[in-house]
Amino acid sequence: MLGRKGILYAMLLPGILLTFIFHYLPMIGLVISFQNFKPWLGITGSEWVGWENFQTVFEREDSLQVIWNTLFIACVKIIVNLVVPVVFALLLNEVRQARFKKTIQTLVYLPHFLSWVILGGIVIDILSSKGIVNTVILPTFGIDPILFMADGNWFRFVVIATDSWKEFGFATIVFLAALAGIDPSLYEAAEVDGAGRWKMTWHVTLPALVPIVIVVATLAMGNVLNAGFDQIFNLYNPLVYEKGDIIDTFVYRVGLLSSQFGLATAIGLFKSLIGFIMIIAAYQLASRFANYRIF
Amino acid sequence: MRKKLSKATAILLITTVAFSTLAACSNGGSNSENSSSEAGDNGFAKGKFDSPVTLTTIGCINSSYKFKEGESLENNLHTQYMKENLNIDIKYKYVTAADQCSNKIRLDMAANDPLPDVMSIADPQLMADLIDSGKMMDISEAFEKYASPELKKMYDIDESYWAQVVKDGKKYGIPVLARAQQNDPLLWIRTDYLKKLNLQAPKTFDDLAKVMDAMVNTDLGKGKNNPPLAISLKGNGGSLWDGPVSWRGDASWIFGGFGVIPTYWNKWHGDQIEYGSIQPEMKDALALMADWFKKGYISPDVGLIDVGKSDETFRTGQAGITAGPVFTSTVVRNYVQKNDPNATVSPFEIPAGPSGKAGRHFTAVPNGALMVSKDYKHVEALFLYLNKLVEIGNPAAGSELEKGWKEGYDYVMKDGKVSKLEADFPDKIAVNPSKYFLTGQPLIDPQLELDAQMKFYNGEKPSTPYEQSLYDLIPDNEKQDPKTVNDWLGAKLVTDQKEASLANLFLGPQTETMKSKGEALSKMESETFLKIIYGKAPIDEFDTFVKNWKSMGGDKITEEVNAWYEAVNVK
Repeated sequence: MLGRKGILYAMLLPGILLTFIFHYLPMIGLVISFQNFKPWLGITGSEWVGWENFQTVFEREDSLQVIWNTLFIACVKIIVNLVVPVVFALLLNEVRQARFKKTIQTLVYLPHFLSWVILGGIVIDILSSKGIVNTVILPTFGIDPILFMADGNWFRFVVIATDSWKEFGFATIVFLAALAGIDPSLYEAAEVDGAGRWKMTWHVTLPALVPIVIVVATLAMGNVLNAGFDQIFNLYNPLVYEKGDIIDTFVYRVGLLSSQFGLATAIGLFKSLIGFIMIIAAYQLASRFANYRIF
Repeated sequence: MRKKLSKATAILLITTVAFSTLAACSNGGSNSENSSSEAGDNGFAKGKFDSPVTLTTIGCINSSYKFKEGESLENNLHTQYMKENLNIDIKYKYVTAADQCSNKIRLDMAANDPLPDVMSIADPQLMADLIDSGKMMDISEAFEKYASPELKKMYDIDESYWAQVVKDGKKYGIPVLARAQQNDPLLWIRTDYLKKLNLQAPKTFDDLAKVMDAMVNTDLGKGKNNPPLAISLKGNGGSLWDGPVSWRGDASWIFGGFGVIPTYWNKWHGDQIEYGSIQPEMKDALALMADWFKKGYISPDVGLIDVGKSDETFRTGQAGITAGPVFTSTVVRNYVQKNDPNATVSPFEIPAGPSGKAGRHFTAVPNGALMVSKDYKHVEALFLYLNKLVEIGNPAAGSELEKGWKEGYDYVMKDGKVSKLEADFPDKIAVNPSKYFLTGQPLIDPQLELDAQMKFYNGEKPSTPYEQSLYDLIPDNEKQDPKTVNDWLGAKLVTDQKEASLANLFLGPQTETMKSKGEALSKMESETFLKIIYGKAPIDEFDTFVKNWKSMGGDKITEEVNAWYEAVNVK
């Protein structure tokens, strides 16, 4: 009765339904951002305050700085998390011994499963004044102890480096999969033409990787205002607010701990909007310059 | 796989059967009792209800809750005792992790779900929200009518106990009272270090600086250059920074020596309540802290580590000095002396600062409250319960709870004597039944414990079962000379120095401006203070902070705090 197409569409239904229920329906809650929301009064009963919540946020002296911190940390993270896995995947791809390759792949993948609550404690411990870095590693090179977690610039560095260490194994898998899909005859042809390893990487492997890199980068653009709440929350302290306080930690302190739900939602809406614009822009660029299309 | 499955089914079956039998039992019980008269006060006057009364509540537990095999918060010796002795069925709507409790209650409010009859609320914000929601009961009348004279006496000591739950003259809850001076810090010093350095215990900040200087420059067996003072300034991560005031590794006394406590609201100068962190004395205090930091008396990690980490440096003996409450004695016994059997630690009074006096943070006696739903029909059950808690909190000699709750639970008999040491238990689990109470702690006069410990310090022996139980907590080998038992000496010192405890007069929920501006001000405060202490900002930055604090909403907050204070202190 339905026909072949009909059945296929019917199979889509559960997915659409779930997306609707869990992603579109909750958007009604966005009206909270224009209200002085009180949980016991609900969405319909709370006082309507217009743009007041947005005003409160953007009138703060440090709001620009928080947005800038977020952008900076997130952008560097996006770049590092693109470059490091690609390079690592290329290197790992050259390894001929399968067992060694698999072992390394698993090892670098493991930190992805650790929670920042645990890692945060470990990082702070290792980098503290009595930690291994300051008592063993730096002195052997004759460097004075550095208070990594008490200095804003070092803090940013630590945040980006530890995030990259934790996540690059996961991204590497995606690129390795893409590498495995490259037609071997291309390499054979290159070899016949007299290309060495380096030339093959440059002219065969990299061009083949470009589409997947663009997909990953485009998707990552949506996270341009997500600098990683759980990581920073577990690492930061008042000394590094200036360089390390991001939108999410700010929302946590201002919105959730003081139960200013309207304010928290307003910032959330702002973030989603920026993320949406960034994804669209990135996609436009990708389709124009790399001739890449998802939709 | 199949085996696993069948096991799961078996467990399911067993629980279902168990539950249905339980249900059957309780049904049977209530049926038979329902037949008795419903008239009159249902047996309130004689101390036990004739027909069972249900009291629903919620449980918020953390890792410190221990249960005997087969027991839980819903079913344990406490619920059984209340059922048998008072005929009250305590039912839990849910039991969840303590840090999730506030959220769950908020969700219930949002969903307009019926709230449990009685809730123990610690978060002042939630308390205020609940009162605002209009779903809570004004218990003033019920308290007058049903509370026992002993219970009333406990709350008569200080009208300010009610400050958090009072709105428009109505009392929307029964405050849970902490022990008096429970968290007031003392200075705990490694006396073996003092002896090695040939120094006396410090009486002033100058003395203390000498001691710390000697400690930092001498190898006391843990290497040189160990910061001798174990404090933490990170704060507990709430929306408002509370770094200088903590329950362990406290730093408030350094500021207290100058006469103010940062983050505290008090009448520092004159009649107006003002914010402690912006008082001029703070500038000198911060300068001193910066100096101590530079000289290595304080850990370079002081702004990033929490109280647990700072405590650790004291436990391992790297730091020789810390500031902590009387119960730091257990840290000494269980950690410092386990790590180093030769370690000796004693509590000392907080040394006097440049103001000529010592100062430190106080302990707010009201510590959350029991709040009752407006729809609860049997508020007398709560009072019957509380009256009972008062009675068993300080049991009479020869009463059934004299030795403790139940053998094998909170005590065991060893060689004919009561022992409360976990090692003496057959299953090595000693539970603390007062954790199961609706209040989460025994309902006793706040002063009772300190008074008893002072008595022991003066060489007297315990005379009541309560005192005996307190006395038994100290291992015999320490009790040779009562003047050297840290718990008792600490109790004496903290009482002697009662004047030094400076109060925070603002115990209410965040005011309107605090909600919108408080975090920004607090962030500025924490940044400025820590940067000055770390030497990353000049001391004059403090003046800029004060100016900004006032103009960015601080003045408005000060007004609101004063208004709150006047409103709750109307007699």
